[in-house]
Amino acid sequence: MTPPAEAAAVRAAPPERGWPVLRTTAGDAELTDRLLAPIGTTARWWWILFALSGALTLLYVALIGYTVARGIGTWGNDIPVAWAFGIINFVWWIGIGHAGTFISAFLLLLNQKWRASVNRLAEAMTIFALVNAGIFPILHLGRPWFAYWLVPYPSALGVWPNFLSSLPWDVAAVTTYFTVSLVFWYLGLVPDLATARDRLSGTWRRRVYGILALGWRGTATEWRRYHVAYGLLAGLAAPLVVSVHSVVSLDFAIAQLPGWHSTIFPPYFVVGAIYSGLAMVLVLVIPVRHVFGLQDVITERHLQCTAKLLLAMGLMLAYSYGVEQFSAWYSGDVYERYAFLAARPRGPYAWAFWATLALNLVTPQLFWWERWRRSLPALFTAGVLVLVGMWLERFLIIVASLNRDFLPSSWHLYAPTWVDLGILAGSLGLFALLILLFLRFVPLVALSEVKQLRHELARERP
Amino acid sequence: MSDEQRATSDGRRPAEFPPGVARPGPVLSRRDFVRLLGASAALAGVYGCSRRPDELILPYVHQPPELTPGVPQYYATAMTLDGLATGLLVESHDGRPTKVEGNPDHPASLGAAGVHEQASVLQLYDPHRSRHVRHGAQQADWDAVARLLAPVALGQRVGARGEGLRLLLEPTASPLTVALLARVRERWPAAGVHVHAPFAAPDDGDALLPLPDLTRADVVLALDADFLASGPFHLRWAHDWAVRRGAGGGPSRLYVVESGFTPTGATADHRLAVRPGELETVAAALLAGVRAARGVTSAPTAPTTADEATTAWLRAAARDLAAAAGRCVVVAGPRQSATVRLLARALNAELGNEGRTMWYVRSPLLGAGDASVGSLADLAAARDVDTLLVLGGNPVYDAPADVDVAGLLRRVPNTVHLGLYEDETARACAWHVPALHYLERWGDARAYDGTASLVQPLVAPLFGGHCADELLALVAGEATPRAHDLLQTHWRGRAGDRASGFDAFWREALRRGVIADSAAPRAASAPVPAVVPPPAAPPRAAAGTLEVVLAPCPKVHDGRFADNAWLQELPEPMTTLTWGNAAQLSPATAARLGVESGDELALGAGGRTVRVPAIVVPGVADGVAVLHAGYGRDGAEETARGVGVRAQGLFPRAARYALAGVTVARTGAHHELALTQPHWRLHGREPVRVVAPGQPVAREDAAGGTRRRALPLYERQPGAPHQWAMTIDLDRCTGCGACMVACQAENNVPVVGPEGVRDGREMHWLRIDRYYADAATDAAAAAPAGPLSVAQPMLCQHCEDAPCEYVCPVEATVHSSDGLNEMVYNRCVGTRFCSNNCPYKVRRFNWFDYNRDLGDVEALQRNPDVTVRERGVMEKCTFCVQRIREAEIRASVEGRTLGPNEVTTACAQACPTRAIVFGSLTGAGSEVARLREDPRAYAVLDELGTEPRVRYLARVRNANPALAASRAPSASEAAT
Amino acid sequence: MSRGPHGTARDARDEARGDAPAPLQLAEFATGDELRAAVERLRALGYRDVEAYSPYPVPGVAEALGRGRGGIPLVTLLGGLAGAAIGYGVQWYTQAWSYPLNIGGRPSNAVPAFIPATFEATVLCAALAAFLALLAGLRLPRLWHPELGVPGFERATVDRFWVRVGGRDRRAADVALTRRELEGLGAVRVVEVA
Repeated sequence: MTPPAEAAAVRAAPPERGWPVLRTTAGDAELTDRLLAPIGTTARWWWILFALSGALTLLYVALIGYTVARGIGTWGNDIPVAWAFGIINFVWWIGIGHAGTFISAFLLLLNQKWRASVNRLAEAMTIFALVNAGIFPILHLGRPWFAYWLVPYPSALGVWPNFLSSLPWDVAAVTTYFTVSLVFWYLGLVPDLATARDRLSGTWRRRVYGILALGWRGTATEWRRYHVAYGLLAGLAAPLVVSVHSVVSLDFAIAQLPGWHSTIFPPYFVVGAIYSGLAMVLVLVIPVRHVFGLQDVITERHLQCTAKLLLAMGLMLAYSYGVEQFSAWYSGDVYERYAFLAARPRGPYAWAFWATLALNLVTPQLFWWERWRRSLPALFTAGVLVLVGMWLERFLIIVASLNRDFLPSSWHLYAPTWVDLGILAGSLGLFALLILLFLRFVPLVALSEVKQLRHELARERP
Repeated sequence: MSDEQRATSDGRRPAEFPPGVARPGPVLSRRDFVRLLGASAALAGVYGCSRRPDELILPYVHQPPELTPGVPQYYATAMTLDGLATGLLVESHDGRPTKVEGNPDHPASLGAAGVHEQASVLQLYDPHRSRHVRHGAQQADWDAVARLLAPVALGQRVGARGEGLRLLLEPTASPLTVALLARVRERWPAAGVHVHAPFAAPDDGDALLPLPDLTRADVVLALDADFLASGPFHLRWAHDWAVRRGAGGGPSRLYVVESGFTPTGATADHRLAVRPGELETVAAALLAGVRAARGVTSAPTAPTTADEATTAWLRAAARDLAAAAGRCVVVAGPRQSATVRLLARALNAELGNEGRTMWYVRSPLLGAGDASVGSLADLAAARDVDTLLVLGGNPVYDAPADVDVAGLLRRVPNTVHLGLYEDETARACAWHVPALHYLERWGDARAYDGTASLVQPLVAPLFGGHCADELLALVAGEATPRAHDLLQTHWRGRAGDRASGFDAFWREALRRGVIADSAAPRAASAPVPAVVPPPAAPPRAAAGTLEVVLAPCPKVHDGRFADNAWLQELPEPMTTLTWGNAAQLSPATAARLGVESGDELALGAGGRTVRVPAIVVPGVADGVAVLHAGYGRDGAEETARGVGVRAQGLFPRAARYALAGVTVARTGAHHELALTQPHWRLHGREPVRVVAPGQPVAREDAAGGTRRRALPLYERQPGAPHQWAMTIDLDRCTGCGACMVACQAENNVPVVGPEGVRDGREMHWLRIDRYYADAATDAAAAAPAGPLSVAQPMLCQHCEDAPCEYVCPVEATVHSSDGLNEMVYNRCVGTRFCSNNCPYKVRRFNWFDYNRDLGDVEALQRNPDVTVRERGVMEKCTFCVQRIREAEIRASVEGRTLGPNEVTTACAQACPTRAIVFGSLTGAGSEVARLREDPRAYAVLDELGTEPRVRYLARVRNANPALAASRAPSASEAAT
Repeated sequence: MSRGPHGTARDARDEARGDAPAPLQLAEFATGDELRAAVERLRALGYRDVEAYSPYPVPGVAEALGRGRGGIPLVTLLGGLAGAAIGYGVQWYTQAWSYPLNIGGRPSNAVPAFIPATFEATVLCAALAAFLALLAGLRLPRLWHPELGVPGFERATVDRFWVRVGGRDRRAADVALTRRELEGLGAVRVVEVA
């Protein structure tokens, strides 16, 4: 039971700076119980979604098996378009991952209070997106069973990976990113796992959470060092957000292919990544807060802030597109000019070009107006549109650049096969499956942080 | 019926592909399984180990006689096509022929080998070849055939003088065959002998063939003659033309008048596209023009041609010829009317070329100028035939539409077919005897100029079989004829008188592949009728109708090579069409018909209809459709079945090669053509450069600015003594494609089939790009002269700063110290990043396991010196590294240093015009080093700073000033 | 028991004198503010071995107890430096020393190309170092502590605030006195841990 004074204070807290970060009137205990409630949910909607995403995941597994058994020729790739869906999906998924780290690390460093309610879900999204992102670069290899040759290990062959190539950089970047994100996520989870251990019923559950909680008790010492380590990890994860997609962009930028060979790529890719990630956050958070009735913990404030970030990223992306076209024109290079000024707007993939512009640049302009930032359907739809747009952007960068390069004699069109489409759908299924499992087994909001935030807000009042 | 037969007779799938072709479905289809069974049965104990024939065969002169296992040997032999021979050297690994190369001592080859010769080695191992003597549906044996043709039995059936006996042969110039035929006619005086082949060399009654000396021709005019890329002597002519073209004193000038668009036309300095019906008028106008130019008073008034542009072109050409009188050549196409060919003779006579640049030889072909040898039509008309021997050829498939061969074969009680396959004709015959491939048999042959060669087998028959000579001997009364003995007997009679004696003669003939001074004597002149028959008035192009031309396919010829996957997948030189044929239409004609490439047309004439997809080819004469023969096969050849359309079905005897007034209609159907190159424009880029004679390549870019070039950041890393490089002279390249097939044979390059080509997955290490090099492409493409079409062999450029290398994450492609861009298959994981970063897009990827279905038989062809690549790895041109290393080892064994010009690649070796030169940049007298300094030398995409080791020499356009205005100058010309 | 990282020199001397450790007593408080006040008071009273438990960090408590950063930043820095050295070292060794090849005419020791992997290795090692330093410093994982057996203590991770005294603390030796003092601080209840 909480002293009425505090609760009253919270209730009375005026909506300063637009909208409150928390609107809950519940005491710590009640809040804890509400936030732990989704664990072990057996709602029908959960089982239905679980079945659907499970089926897609099985399709994923089957098609991966088919690809490995028959060969990469089952995909639509050709010469010159030697990279296509595999790499598009890789870049798309890894980009989605960025928002999680962005929210949890950057906002922590910037001391943004609204981070507390959404960071757990966002980080989970990061990790699950990275699982998908990790599959594609291996699967798209001609001989995936030799993927480990990209790692420097002393082998009988006596040869090593080639660190002049950006692909080993990729391996390093993605592995690091995944590991650090996982550690960061788990460290943030430890106090909540302890809460779950102490609060949930069921011997087995308590045992499992007990083990995962490592024996956390919440002593002053633990909290003190926890915050030191957590802050350090945030400080280390923040540059990763920038570096990982920069390295991914180098997979293209170090090649001299018109449409790839550009210095704008690293920032351009990072912005695009966070952009798509924020879109995915909206797509996940809006239904989740609804089904679990968390409107008072994940408030309009969070959605508003995300919408504003989306707008900001959209504008930066517009700038990147502009610079790309300008430098192509300004270079006076016949190949660059053709790729950007002729092939993209008027070539065989013009539809993708214009669709990308429409989805990525027009959509966020809604959020100049508060009424749209407050409209849940608008936010959700915008999220979906941006996700599609960002996938198409990668399609454009990869396929539309490759299919018409230097020598017109080697130009050739690209078309995906049913296997390509099935694998893309399968990856979405796996992602959804992991999110569903996360909702069912992991505290989806950072309990201790929300409680702490609540008391800080209470203290802040005049 | 053989296993093979039963296995294939249920071919329901539209097209079948040989092992090695990507194909959906189970790992091993029932058909494959049965075929493998058949192969294993037929080949018990064949694999790898020696299959040398029983008789003594002798390796080529420069080879050591003894055999070291693992070291290939070269044997001289000859391949005949339409009766005329090309001398070859065939590489044999432990008794397995693996690679065909030209015989430098043979006048029709001079060391080069064309696409058909190169690909013939694959035909040897074709698992679809027939394997058993067949009578009706039953498997029979040779003895049964011997009994059938035994003199007594035969006499009882065909009469004492052989009235009921007919022989149908392919054209042949084989002295042995001719002699055996004489014996047959001796024995059966009333027997009829007929010769048929759809595209054999013509006979003007006096049996004289033109034999121009192109090494001395300053001006050449071709009347619808693709003499640089097709025909029995084209390798020699291409070589001679290139010699003159590259000689000092300025390049020669080539005028071409043609209906279709051929490699020769694309090579021309000036080209005129006319309808086939107009050609006689054009030739007559030229003659008149030449006479006028030379001030001959008795010049008849020149027939005026349709438009004054054409007239002006002809006048200019005639003046140019007249100015080069005695130093020029006029050649007429072999499929032109006698009128055109006689006008060509008259032109050469008028121009005083006879005895200077133009000679004539008597045709060595059987029945040349011999009325007693009948045609296929005579045979079809014949009655009371009891026994008919079809010795090769496939008349049921390729006879003129109005010659009823099938009916004939039904009429005749005893029909015996000899052939490599159970083809359409075999199926219509009561008896089938498997023929021997020329690499399996003894025989002899004559080249176009009469030079005789012995044909020696490199391998004992893979599937059993016999040759025509043995059957003829049988008919002539021999009990158990063997080709080897027949041949020796024949030549002993002719060579015995030589001082050195027969054995010496025999050995020499086998070793050299040429019988000394056996060429026919050259005649300095040919009779020209005082009055050349007046040209037929060109048929008025009736609205909505086309003139349709039937040409032998540059790849499958008349269909005899249709089962050859290498040739099926070889891009057609002018359209890059693979796996099929199409009706070639000019853009204007296509626009008038409202069709685009791929739309299906129904061509109708005389109640016959052919449904064929259209393909738009700038340069084809307006109102003309060009069809290639040899497709739409329906024999036992699985690879060929259902590929393309049988164009022969449209053409009657009276108009075998050109048919006017053909109605055309769209069927509404659309086909996705399997093209390897869908884009022809340059888009302001300059992969090919064109210069005027004596001009260097432009140092400015198209925009007129100095070429921007990335400079190397790092100093060169130290290299080995030899630095390998290549130059390709675009002025000599005709785009014939011999280099592509040579590369495929040498490097075990797999075949991917039509789907693979449509998906952009063809595996050729060396491809031939074609560009329209005019500045104003659209205008030129529409112009009657057609676009300036330049062929460019494109292969791995072996860049010194290779973009592919630094992006490979596993060091699977690295640089060797002697300048090779190496591909390490074992190390490749298949990221394909190297291909993305290759500006020339010459890297190929194994999307599937293309060798999974490789049959036991085809496996014998594979070159043991080159890795067969597995699934999921990159591959590309290696500069034939196996040849380089082999030469280095040989040199070190002999304790000497390797010369710069000692090693040559398969492509350079096959090239008839020597357009491709390979060697080391270091060392005195390096040919490549010299050519790299040529003012015409340039590197493709050099602005990228890749420092390619392959350099190109710009195409020269030796325009006639009087005609130069007729075409917009190319970008490069403008820039110079 | 959890003397671990914050034992003092005095404790050591007490130990040397061989005094038996004082029994542990836990006091439960309702709010964070009460917890902070209690902790400050106990320190003032001279209790040395004091520990506070809270569901979320209560400002001032750690300070009052003088808890430090436990050297985690230093360990992280060292981890990062080691990562950088390993990252660049591996690349230099494999490309420039062990098996140099001519790759696109580039130099074997291509410094600019080696930067990305070096950076990633730095971050990875630093992050792992920070995490492990935390666990090691806190002696985690250690799944059982005596407090966890105290009825009601489970709310320490939910909504209640606890203080522990005792152990090597002479001041806490007098159980009755300590209990009185804790109750005097407004503890909801005081429990002695067996």
